[in-house]
Amino acid sequence: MNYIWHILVMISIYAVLAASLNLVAGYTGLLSLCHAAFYGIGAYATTLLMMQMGLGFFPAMALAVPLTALLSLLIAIPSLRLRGDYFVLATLGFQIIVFSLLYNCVRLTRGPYGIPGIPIPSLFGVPVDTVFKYFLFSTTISTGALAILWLLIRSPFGRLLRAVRDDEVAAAALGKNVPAVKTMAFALGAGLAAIPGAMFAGYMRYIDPTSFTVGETIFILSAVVIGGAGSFWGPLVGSAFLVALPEALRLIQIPDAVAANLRQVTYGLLLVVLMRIRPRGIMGEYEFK
Amino acid sequence: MNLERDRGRGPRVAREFSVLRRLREAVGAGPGGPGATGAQAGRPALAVQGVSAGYGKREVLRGVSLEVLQGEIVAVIGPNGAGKSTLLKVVAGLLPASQGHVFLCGDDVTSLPAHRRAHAGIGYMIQGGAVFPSLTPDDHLRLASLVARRRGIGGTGQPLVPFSATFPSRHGPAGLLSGGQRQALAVASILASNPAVLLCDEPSAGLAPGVARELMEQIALLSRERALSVLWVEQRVGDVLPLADRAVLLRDGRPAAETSSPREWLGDGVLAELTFGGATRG
Ligand SMILES: Nc1ncnc2c1ncn2[C@@H]1O[C@H](COP(=O)(O)OP(=O)(O)OP(=O)(O)O)[C@@H](O)[C@H]1O
Ligand SMILES: [Mg+2]
Repeated sequence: MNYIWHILVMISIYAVLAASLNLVAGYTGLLSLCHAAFYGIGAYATTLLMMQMGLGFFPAMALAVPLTALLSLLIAIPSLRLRGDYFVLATLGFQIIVFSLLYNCVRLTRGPYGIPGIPIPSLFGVPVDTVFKYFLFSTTISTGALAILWLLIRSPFGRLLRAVRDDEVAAAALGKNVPAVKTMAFALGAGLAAIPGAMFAGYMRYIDPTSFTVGETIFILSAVVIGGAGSFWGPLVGSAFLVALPEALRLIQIPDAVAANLRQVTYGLLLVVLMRIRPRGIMGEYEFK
Repeated sequence: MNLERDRGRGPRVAREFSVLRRLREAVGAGPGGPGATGAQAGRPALAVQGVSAGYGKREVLRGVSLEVLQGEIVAVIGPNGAGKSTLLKVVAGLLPASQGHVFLCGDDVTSLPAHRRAHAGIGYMIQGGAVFPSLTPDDHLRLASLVARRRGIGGTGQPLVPFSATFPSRHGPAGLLSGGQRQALAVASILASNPAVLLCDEPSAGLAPGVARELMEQIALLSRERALSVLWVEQRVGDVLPLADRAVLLRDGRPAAETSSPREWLGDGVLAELTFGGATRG
């Protein structure tokens, strides 16, 4: 049974990750390749605030969110003025830099050794110490984060994001400050990615840089694209699909020798087939150009 | 003009508001009110001075100067590729001028970005009717009325032109509208943003003849009733010249001819002579 709860915890974490990237990529049209960096910054910031400053889980997370949003400005401000392709490359560069900082700033992050012994989060004095409890805990947090996103997207600000995505020139001609809107969306998306970072650290109770690589960014982006960029439910469906699919493939009986490879191939094939059938994702709204 | 006093001094925002206030004074009681008549104010709402601009190394505009007085309609005509749209882009702030200045009500706005110029009262109808495909027509009007509010004029949120009839649904995405419907929506939302200076780039292109004429007359009416200043790029020369107070012929990025009695250009062969002949300033 714990196995099911574990998968659901992971889905709740990825749902917020994908939904926050969707705010940036799906609604604002900014293809960003550094989401795992913000996820990692959130995880490390929460962990260090808990372990070095003795903060509780929630205060640590509450500080990690604005901190991550602020750090995102380091990349947003210089690169959002670049045109599409250059922006994508700039975010990729940022992702690589953050990973190597996490890996090499041994004094702060313990580098490749990672940080073990992260304290168990507790809620109203009750420690969240079983997988089932953590499932309830993380689902609550992720519902809260998704509710914030829902409100953002339905607000006039959300309408503004889509206007900027659809036609920057027309938006500027209608008096919208396009670079400011993009920067705000990017920082909001980054700040929200710190929440799953905290959820992950509190759940695993051990973090190391390998959870926050370019590969992880691509995984999150796949969840957005497969679910449907620019739709609210898309990234949630996409994360559930991508997290559960490998687990489902495990249930198929195949000889051990080829099992792992065969699973990978099946996984890849399913993704290709899916994008052929539904190029805009399962819940599709917006197609990347 | 008080260019020297304002140039480069004081916070930009304050400058925008002063422009707005002066435009408002000229307009009179604001939307719907009894506006000032015609070009009585005599001060240019918009002045372009020696503007050159281009794309990369390619120079398209070569020292264009023109003025639009308050409440005046100035038609800009010329062959395809003459640089008419480029001129409007420079005025709207979407393309930098490599030389020259743009003044809005006497204030130098050359260094202001497009959205600031929009706040200061410039409304720009982009050629081809730019709409936001994923937003509904209602969303467009809401976005437009936000700018109007920012301009301090209070958006009505209603299209000033009775175009709503041409939309099948005000709640579906604009991306599903036909070309003409999109054009109508783009025009309607710019008008709903209550500009003080309107830049139109072939606003009636793609519209059915009846709707096109209605739109053109509506713009002329707005200009008369509310002292809306209009810089109007148009290919339907026969329709626009009778509505305009003045006209400029643009050729190869330069004003090749100018007239204060645009109807005269409608005479036999006059335009052909101006466009292809050796004439300079008419
Ligand atoms: N985005 C662009 N990039 C490069 N060159 C451009 C661009 N837009 C226009 N041009 C060039 O600038 C010149 C003037 O174009 P512009 O659009 O201003 O012409 P126009 O007078 O509006 O023509 P039309 O009547 O066809 O609308 C053209 O030769 C065109 O090739
Ligand atoms: Mg043009």
